[in-house]
Amino acid sequence: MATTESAFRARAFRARAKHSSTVWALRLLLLLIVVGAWLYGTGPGEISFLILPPLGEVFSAIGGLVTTQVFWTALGVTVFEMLVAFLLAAVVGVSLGFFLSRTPLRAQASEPLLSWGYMFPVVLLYPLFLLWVGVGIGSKIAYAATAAFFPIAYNTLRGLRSVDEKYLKVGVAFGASRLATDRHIKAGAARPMILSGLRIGVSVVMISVVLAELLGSNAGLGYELQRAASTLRLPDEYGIALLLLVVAVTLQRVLELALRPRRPGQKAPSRATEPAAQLDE
Amino acid sequence: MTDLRVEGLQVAYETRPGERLVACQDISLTVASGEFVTIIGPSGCGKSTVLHCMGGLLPPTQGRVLFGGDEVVQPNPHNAAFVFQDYSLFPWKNILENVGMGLTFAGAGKTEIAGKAAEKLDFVGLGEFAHALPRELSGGMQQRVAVARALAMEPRVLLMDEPFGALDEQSRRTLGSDMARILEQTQRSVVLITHSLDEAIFWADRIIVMSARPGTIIEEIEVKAPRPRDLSMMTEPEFQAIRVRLFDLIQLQQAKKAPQPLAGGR
Ligand SMILES: Nc1ncnc2c1ncn2[C@@H]1O[C@H](COP(=O)(O)OP(=O)(O)OP(=O)(O)O)[C@@H](O)[C@H]1O
Ligand SMILES: [Mg+2]
Repeated sequence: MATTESAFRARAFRARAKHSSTVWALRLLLLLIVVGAWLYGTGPGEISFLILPPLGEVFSAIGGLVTTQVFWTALGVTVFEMLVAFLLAAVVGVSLGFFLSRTPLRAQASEPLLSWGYMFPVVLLYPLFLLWVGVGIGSKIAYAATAAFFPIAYNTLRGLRSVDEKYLKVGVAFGASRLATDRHIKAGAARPMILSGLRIGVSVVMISVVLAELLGSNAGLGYELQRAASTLRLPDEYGIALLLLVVAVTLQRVLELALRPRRPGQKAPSRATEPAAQLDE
Repeated sequence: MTDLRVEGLQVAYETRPGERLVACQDISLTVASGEFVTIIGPSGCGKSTVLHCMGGLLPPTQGRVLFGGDEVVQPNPHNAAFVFQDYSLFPWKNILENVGMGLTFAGAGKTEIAGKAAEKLDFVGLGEFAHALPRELSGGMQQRVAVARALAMEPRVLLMDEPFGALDEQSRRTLGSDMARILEQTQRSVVLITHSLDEAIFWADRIIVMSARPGTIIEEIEVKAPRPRDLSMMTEPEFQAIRVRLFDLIQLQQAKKAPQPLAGGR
């Protein structure tokens, strides 16, 4: 049994590796198309400088930006805001999800509210955050954490509510306390849902922080971007946008790795047992 | 001394608002300390329902369940531990953790849990799978893990719902006879639900035969064969006589049910 299983796994792994190289080739192709279109547009295509600056200028703007103190300070502010907002949303969202899941009454009463909060564009309330917390980093963190709280709490609650009855029955039969039920049964069964809520939270936090910085702030990459745009420094604007993309992707990757589903009884995920992990994004 | 006493038990499930389904009724039985009782009856006759009530997992609609004289209102795994029909291992925990789950819930120390869990896992012959996941085990192996999980509580009564149902006839006989023999020495009572006539007789000091739904007790058969028993018991005349009797009883149930679909059909 074990040998056929490992042979099967090895074959699946090879198939995935082959698949993976095709995927990367296609990704590279898409990137080349975008770059090609850009080069064509700014060259023979004669797109106005005010709409799309030449790629070369954007890159030299990036080269300039990364040597300035201003850029690195702004980057630090933005990353700090993202991390703190995510941590806040995760801790509050997950614990509240557990609290609300404990009785059907609580869960039924709160679930629609959380889903409305999830669907509501919290950005409409951003002016209020500015009013309450001020124009500094506090309002970015509070706003982004609020926006990310809803998907995290909602998914946590949904996951905890849909735990299979038969597992809860084992808990009752073997005398599990409510805390033990949360920890050993509900958390285990709902883990995939909770993790997917947290991953949504990561994206929401990043979008929210940058959006908030654009809309009203005095520091951060979004603020620098907005300043570049309003003074018509187009290459700088595009440069900052590209750098933001890099930051966002890096941060997302790091947090995703930390939130990756693990095999039970293992301390950290290992590549050998989950070769597909980097593909299913 | 009686460990477990069921008095006038009836359970009705509310299937839809206002609609009640009586799963079993007029069930009275006792399980003496150290006694092995098997329950046999047609599918859907309320065997699992009775077992759940005995362990305090399901409140009776009528009647009551007493453990050592006290009314059972909620499960206490040290008194009575379950082996569920659908095993219900936690897929997110490894086998050793699954076996130790009841001890974890009881707040035992880490080393104590690991020690006892490993011991019980060895007992059901799965010691080498301690760090595997439930999904890496076959159905029969998972059932043995569920047995180990119940044994780890060292309960006075074991409530087992078809614990070997997923095993083939041979392994079921060997494992069952091994386990029965070891449990005999521990002064533990056992209530075992089964569909297998052989298993029902081999394990039992007393066999309880239930009717089709709503399940009632239609016969109690004592099995006087001395313990420890081994598989050769199955060839003895007493065993064969009981087997024939059981076959008649169960077959009678089926026969009563069989004409209905035919008559209702064409
Ligand atoms: N939770 C429930 N809600 C409603 N009806 C139920 C429920 N559990 C069981 N029943 C019904 O009660 C009857 C008895 O069920 P039970 O599971 O006790 O049977 P069983 O004798 O264990 O059957 P099997 O041998 O197939 O396991 C069945 O007709 C079933 O449909
Ligand atoms: Mg059953």
